Amino acid sequence: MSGCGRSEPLHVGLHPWPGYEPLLLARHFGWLPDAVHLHEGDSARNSIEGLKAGTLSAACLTLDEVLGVRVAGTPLTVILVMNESVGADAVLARPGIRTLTALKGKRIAVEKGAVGSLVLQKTLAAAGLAAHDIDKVNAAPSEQLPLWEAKQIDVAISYPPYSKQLIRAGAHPLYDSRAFPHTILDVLAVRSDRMRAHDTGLRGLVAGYLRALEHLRVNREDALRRIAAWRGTSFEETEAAYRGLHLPSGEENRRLLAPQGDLIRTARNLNELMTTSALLPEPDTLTNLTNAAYLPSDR
Amino acid sequence: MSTLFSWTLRAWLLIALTLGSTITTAEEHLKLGVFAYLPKPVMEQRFQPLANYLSTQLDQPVDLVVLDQEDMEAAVNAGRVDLLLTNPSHYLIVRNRSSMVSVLATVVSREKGQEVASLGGVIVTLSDRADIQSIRDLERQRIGVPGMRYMGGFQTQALELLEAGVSLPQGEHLLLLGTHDRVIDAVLEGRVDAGFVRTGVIEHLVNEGKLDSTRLKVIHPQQFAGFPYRVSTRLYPEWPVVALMSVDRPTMRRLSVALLALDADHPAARAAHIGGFVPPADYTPVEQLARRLRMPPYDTSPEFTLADVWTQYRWGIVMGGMTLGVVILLLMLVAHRQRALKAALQALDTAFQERENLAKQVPGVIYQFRLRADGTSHFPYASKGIRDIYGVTPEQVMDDASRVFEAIHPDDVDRISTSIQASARTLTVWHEQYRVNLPDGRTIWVEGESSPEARSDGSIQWHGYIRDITERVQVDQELRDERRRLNDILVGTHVGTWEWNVQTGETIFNERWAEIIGYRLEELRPISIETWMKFTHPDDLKISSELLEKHFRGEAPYYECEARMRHRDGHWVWILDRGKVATWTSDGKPLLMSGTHQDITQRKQADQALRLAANVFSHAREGILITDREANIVEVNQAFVHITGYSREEVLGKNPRLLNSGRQDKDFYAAMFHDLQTQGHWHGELWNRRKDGNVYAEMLTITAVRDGSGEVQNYIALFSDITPLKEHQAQLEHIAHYDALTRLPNRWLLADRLKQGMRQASRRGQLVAVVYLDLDGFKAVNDIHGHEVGDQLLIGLAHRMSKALREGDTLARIGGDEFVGVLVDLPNAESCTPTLQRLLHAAAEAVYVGDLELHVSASIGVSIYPQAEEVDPDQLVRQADQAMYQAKQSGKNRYHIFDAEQDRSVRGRHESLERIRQALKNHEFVLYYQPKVHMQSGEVLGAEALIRWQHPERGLLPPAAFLPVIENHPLAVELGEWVLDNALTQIEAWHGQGLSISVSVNVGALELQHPDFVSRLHTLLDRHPGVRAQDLELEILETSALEDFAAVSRVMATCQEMGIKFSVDDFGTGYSSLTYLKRLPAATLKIDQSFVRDMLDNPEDLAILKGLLGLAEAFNRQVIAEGVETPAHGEMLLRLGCTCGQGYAIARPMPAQDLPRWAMTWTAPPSWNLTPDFSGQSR
Repeated sequence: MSGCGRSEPLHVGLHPWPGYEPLLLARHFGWLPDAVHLHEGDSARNSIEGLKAGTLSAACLTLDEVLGVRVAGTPLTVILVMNESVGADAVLARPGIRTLTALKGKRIAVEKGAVGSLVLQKTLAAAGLAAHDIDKVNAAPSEQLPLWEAKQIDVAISYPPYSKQLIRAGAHPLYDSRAFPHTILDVLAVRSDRMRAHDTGLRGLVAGYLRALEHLRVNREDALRRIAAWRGTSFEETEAAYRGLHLPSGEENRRLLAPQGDLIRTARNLNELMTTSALLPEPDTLTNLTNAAYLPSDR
Repeated sequence: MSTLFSWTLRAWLLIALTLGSTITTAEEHLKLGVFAYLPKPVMEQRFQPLANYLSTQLDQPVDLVVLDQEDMEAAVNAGRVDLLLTNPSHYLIVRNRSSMVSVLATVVSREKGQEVASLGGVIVTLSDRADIQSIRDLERQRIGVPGMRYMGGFQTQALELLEAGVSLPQGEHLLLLGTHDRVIDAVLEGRVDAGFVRTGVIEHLVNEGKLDSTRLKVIHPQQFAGFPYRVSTRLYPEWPVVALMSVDRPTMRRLSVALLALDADHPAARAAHIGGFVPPADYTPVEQLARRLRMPPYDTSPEFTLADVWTQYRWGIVMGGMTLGVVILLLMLVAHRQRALKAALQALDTAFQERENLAKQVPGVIYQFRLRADGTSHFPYASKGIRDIYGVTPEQVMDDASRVFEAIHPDDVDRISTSIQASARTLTVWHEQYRVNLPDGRTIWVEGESSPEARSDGSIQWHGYIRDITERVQVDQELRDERRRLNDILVGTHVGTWEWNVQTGETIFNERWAEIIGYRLEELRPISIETWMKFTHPDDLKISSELLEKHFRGEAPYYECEARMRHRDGHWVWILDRGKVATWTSDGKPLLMSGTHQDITQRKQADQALRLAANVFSHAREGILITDREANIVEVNQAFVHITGYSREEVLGKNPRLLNSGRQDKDFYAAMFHDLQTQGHWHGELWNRRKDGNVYAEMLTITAVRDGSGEVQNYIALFSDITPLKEHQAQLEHIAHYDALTRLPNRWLLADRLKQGMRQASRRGQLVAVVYLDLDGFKAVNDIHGHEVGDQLLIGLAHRMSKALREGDTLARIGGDEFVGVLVDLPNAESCTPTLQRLLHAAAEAVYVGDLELHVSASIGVSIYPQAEEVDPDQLVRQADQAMYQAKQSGKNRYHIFDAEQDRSVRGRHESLERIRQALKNHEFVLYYQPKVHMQSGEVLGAEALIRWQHPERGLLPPAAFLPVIENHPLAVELGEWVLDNALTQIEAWHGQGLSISVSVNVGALELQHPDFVSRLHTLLDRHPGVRAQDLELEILETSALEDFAAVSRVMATCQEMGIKFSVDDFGTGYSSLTYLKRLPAATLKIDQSFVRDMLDNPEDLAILKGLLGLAEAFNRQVIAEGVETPAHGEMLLRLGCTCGQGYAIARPMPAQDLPRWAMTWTAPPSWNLTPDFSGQSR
């Protein structure tokens, strides 16, 4: 009876980002299977390295980051779309910089090999600038505040909660992901080679996440005040951060993850964009990119 | 009914609007009930200002009623309160009782400047209770709460305990203390181990100095940003202000406004210790809380309702198409089971038998299962059905459940164990589906559900049932497969789907349904049948509903309709909407209907294009004919039928050659086919034959239609009947080429025919004759009878003269009374003579116009092609014209052939003179004689000798052909002598035949002036002793006489002495003067034929003629008229008193041998005998 078999631990990487908070909420309320271990890194880089090294079996990443990891040789499958960025990813600039063209020659902090590069690419394209027109400083959002305060950067590509720190430090948003919808998708990606082994854990992970998402929906104040508390931001700021995000429900996820669903479509676009702008050395095959089987059944 | 209702409603609304304010503001007191979470006096003190505030704002008394839990229930039930300010869980109860309640606003609490619209619960214990550190330490502690219906005072904490796996306090462990303050007191006093209060209570007490905060500690503290209170639970929306059904809408609105407008600093807010109000919060979390705790109104147990069953099995039932019977049975079973289960559990210990009876009714097993604190488990009770589920007897598991777990499928057993543990920990319903291996080797699927309860001995006990669902799982699996297949098909066929509850309007679409009109399904929400109606074209919607009605009435087995829907981009999308009613209500109304949407826009567009093409095909004025690649007709249109006269049925399958007229040769069709092969089309004109045999012209375009591989599939022929056009063209051509009056070819066509004839002659080595024909006396007809008659004459003559020609010859009218003929295929020049004679004859014959008998004649000039020199058509015509003139000169009604050689000789004289000299030597000249008569008596007065050249090659040539050549040449004298000699010889001969006749001979000026003239005349006369001098008359031209008047006069005088008479020829053409006339010793004046010929037409000529006659009379000269061409001329001359005449009407010049016979037989025309002699002159 009590001797239930212990499941293999499922190590899941994530980093601070409003879209990932429901996972932490789920953990807080005990809605995740015991086998699931969340590993909070500072930035996507930690998760990416963990996946490649095999210390993590799954991680919360943006779709472009997923493609990067796949092309680099670690097969990943997306089993859940956590959010779409509609404004949360932003280009923050010093007060003097009011236009996109003014970015020319500026020192821009961006996390290399992560979603920031994609945002930068989109921004440069909109500004009509080339990569060599700017001075790129490789820094993850979590590392940008000291550089900003030391005046070593003029512009930073960031996202909440880090973007709040920069705004408090005087930065103003110049451009954000509202300008390029259906581009930045945060997903839960699993190493394809480990999916079978973690079947139960992944199901529980997704179910727990969706339950927390429901909590966020119906008991907004409870959820947001908790998140704000552990992020050290205010309720209002947290609420504002979610305005830049669209969090698809389980039902919507089923559609997004369908074989010819929106995710694949977005991935195709990203694939092309990233290949032409050298963010990817070669296009991803996109095979086995999605799997909707871990979503709860219709019932 | 509905009309009446709507009228009534409208009337009511009108009244309400008119009287509205008076009704709602009647001096009714609104009663604001506030739930007393604090002692009543405190509550009244706190909330009276709010009631006052609302009274002022509403201009209507608002009475405050503070109610505790029991009072509140009664007051609400009795309708004694209108507004409620109560906690969320109580609101749920009220709402559950009556749906006519509305939340107007949610309270905002305020603490230290922080305003929050959430509340939670706090768990407190004394700070020094080291044994109580975490929530788990509350197990089996005595807990004080204000009451179980307090949200913040019990329910919120209860959920946290459940989640943490801590048993809820009950019995002696739960103390209901009535208010939060008392709970704090009880904790402080140690009467309870821990207390539950709502958020904010502690802070208030501390603020009021009634509590030392250090004495208490909060258990299970939660971290919330910006939340001013200590809290142990999750957060829920704050208290709502609830309007009960007694409050009308206008009042509700004003209340809402008043509440939301209440500022945090307003005395009413401060008194109530609140921060004001915000718009209504979502009370779903409260609802979920109540459900989890099975608190009122969700306190029915187990948490397993009909609705749940329906929700759970809906898909299976609907999609699987189970019969209604099965559904009802299932529902009845569940309902029955639910009731039975509840009863059974309640009566477990006392009514065992009843339970057993009941258990028999229920398929599967009803059981109690207990998990002991030591981890072992057993079934204190199991109905006999456990044998069917686990293959064990109730007795076998009464003390130890191991055998049951052994029976569970190895792959499922861990999951079941885990879920049992979770259920035990959270005290939530256990519900699982899993496999069991039965002793007989079968594996079955079972479903179990049971509710746990924590027992005081630390064990957890479940009451529940398990049943065999193998069949259902299989059905489910099949259904899933089927559904997947169906979905694959839907996705694969790109079909939109819809399900519609006809009675309620509830509608479900799939994503594709929305995608067809450019939307995502999400964007169309909320979805109902209105969504369809909104996007569908109104016209089509009408058709759709008619078709639907038809289907509903059972007249159509299914519904099918093509309709336009407005695409997001604004254009219309054609969809094929199909469906069928799947379920009917018991009274035969359609209930559930489902169907599909297919995007058929492309097909519709193709249809429209086809329809247009078909329209063009059938209504085109052009005939259209379509064949297959073997040129068999596969389709024709109406215009084809109209033009060709063939019906469609007659030509289908036939080859278009049935229309062939034979007017085009093989080469034509070969070229057409070649064009079709190489260029894919052919365009041109063609003669075809109608069914009635008539030939018609068509303008035809044939196009080869090729398929994808370039192979010709069809030929399409488009043609229009251009016969009328052709006819018109021909008419125009006729007008251009033919003379409108006589229908003879005109000058243009003549030129064409002439050229053609010349070419042909050159090729064939033959001759062409150009005949220039001028009518003699036509002018007179016109003048006397008018143009109409003249025209009729021309028409008649043209017709007659045309007939005189041979086939292949052409007669053209080139103007007035002038015609030109082209005679072709002539072997030699002479061969045209018969035709010329026929022409002369045709022209001279009388023409009858009405009662008139008209006579004219023709003068014809002829030129022959080819000639020694190069000659063009114009030249030929000019030559013929010249010849015609000669013919006229020679007395009209005759033809004259242009002598190219002679013409040439005029230009090259030597040769010709020589030829004439030779001719003289060879006796090629002859004399013709034209009689001169007395027209009235018919007496032959004499004959004029006229020289002709009987040319061995060119035939008989008139003097004009050679005399001009020798004029002023000695040869002329020689020829003149020959003429005189010959004429004298002839006179002698005639005398010998008994014909006494004088002969006049023309003498040229040169001859007359010759010094030897008189002597030679003598010699000649001497040589012809049988000739008397008076038998000879000499005619001299007026002009030659005038040349040397004196000399001529002398010669004349000498001759007269000899007895020889003279006459002046061509009198009137010279410059005769009276002096000249008087002195000229000529007995006779010959009036020039030009005056005579035209006197009938030309009054001037007539006047001159009259003048000449008058002169002749005055000078006592005899007169004779030349050019008497017709009897009419004779009549006129006779009328004028001129009795002697010479001309065609009397006789043409004739060979000498013909004269005697002529003289014997000739009689004057009868009309001349009757003509009175006005002049009175006589011989």
